Amino acid sequence: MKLSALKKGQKVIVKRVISSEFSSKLIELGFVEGQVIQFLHSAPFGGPKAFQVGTYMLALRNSEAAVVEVEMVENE
Amino acid sequence: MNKRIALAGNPNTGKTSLFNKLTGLHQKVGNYPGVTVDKKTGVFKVEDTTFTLTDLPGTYSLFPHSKDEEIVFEALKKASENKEFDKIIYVLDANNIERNLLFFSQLHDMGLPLILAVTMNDIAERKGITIDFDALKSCFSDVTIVYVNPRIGLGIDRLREALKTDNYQQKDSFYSEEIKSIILTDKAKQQEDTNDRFRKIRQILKTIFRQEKKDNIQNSGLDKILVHPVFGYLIFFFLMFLMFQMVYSISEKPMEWIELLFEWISSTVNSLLPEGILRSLLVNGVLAGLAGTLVFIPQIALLFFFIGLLEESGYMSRAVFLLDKWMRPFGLNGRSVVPLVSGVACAIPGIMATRTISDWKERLITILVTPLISCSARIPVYILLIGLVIPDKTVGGVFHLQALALFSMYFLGFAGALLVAFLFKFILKTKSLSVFMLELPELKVPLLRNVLIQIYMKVKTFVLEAGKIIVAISIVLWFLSSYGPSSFSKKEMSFSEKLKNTDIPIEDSYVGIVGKSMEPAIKPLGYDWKIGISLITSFAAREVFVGTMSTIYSVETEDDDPGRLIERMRQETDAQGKPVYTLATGLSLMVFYTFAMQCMSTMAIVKRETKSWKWPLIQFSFMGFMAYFAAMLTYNIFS
Repeated sequence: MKLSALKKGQKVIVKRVISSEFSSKLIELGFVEGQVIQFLHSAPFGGPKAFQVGTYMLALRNSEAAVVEVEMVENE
Repeated sequence: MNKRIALAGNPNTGKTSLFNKLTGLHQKVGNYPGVTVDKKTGVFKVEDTTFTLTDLPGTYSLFPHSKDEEIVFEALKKASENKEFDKIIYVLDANNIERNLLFFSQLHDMGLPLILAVTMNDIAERKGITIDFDALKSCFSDVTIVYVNPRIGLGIDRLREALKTDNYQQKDSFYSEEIKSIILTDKAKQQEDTNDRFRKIRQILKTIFRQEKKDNIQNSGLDKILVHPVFGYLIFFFLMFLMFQMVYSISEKPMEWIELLFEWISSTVNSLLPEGILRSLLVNGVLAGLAGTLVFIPQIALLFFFIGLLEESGYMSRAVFLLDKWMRPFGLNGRSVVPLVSGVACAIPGIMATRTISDWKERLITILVTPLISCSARIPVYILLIGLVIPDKTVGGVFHLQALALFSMYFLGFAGALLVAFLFKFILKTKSLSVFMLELPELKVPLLRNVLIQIYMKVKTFVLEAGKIIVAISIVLWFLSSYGPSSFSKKEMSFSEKLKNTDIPIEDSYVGIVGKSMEPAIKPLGYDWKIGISLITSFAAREVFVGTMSTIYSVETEDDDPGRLIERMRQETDAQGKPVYTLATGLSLMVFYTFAMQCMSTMAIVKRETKSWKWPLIQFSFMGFMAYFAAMLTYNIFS
């Protein structure tokens, strides 16, 4: 599933970043395989979303979050 | 002995705090060639060695994604060839060690001599994070590790000591020349390299990193309110309202003092010097220009006090998060809101505050439209004209006509700014990959020293760089309004005698002649040549309009009480005996002042921020164009 499709509070781990204009930068920001991500806040009317990426908080636009493939964490 | 040091690291690691702690006020803002990022350097001494410290822009990786990041890459590349820097201090936030180590490992592999300055260790401890830095040292040999806390000054002496005694030798570069060029041109290779590095970093962290508690983000409850879909916006608008109120009301008195001081200096010069060219040049050219520069200091300082608090506390990125969606349709960024709001007080600090917008196109659009927001300098003009042509009446029980007119002018300015931003989004060819990806740093108590140093640097930059231009233009305007063709036509006088005679009626001066000769051009807007002269002189600053009008009609007036001038202007009639200042002419003038770029200080600061005369001139032209046609339209609707 895509990072942009998460519900608030959900915790996932990164599978891969789909190749796109954003991918280099996303990887550098810590979107690497196995990274734990939690969806924390969203701005209204389709605005950016804030995620906990490992140990820090990062906001992405939906178009940016859509290129990150994630899977649910089991037993959390 | 001299040594050149660079500070590198991720954003939000306390890099600037460390820079300020090391250099204090011994800072300088310069240019990098070809880009609009400032080059911040500072100087400090350890015993007999002078260190020149450069604060590189914060980046997450060696591989550049923007013009600003190319600067960092180029500087570090030169450093690896032993050219630009002798040593790099890498600032690492202990809370985000994994992400912070990526850039560090890249620098290490370039063979650069590094010192690792670890910050935020106290916060990491509170979160139950323990890091075995001795073990880390064994992975990155030859690197000195120092814990610092610039807030309380911890570790600064040890860092200075390390700079003094450390080895400055380059090591072999892991990146050979070929690899360097491949990696830089090939995005896929870059991603592979980054992924590999993170894998290695995780391997290292497995043995040296432990965390007992699991709550990584502090103050997450506070964040829930700050970015709440309802309360978040309420808080933001409250803060902006507060900022505007404070900047506006607190700066009023100091601005008055500065004006009074210059009035005193002028009258002293007037009494000390004999009448003549020198006195006139000093008082009406140089001192007028200096006063016109220094009077902005209170507003700039106060605005950057608030912006500094918002940035330092981490709140600003929350506001950007909430506003991004709303600003994007206009080609603006969430960060454009602060410049636009501060534009209500004064465009100058607003334009200086666009520094925080990283995308060049979004920043440029913000700079171009901020002067359209009605600033406080337009108020004397609005007050004069509203008093002149709008009846002091209330309609429908609630709407006070004069207040309504004033509100309409502010609304017109905002609407104009958004419309122009929207158009520039399509006109500007600069290709911009608008990337958001905004780190929301942890909320913390702002460090006052950082805020104060920023205020000092902003004021200094404005006075030194914009001040030069403002004084120069003032002298030109002084010449044009003190002399006219008649000053130089009398054959019996010598040239120096001609120069001495600065006391000619304003309508005979060059400015007056231009004002008169442009009457046909401004007639469609409902203006006569007297208004034409005021339009030219108020290029210095909008409020000069009131002063020039007083001069032309020979009445003494104060900016805040234009009563007598209003009376005199009401009596003014044209050749046919009809009044000049009708409702149509008054409204047309107000609309003209809403849109026109009548402020040399703003143009000077736009030149400084965009590093070329191109943008202030474009801005002057399109704003003049808008002003002319909007005023003509207004005149025709109401006459």
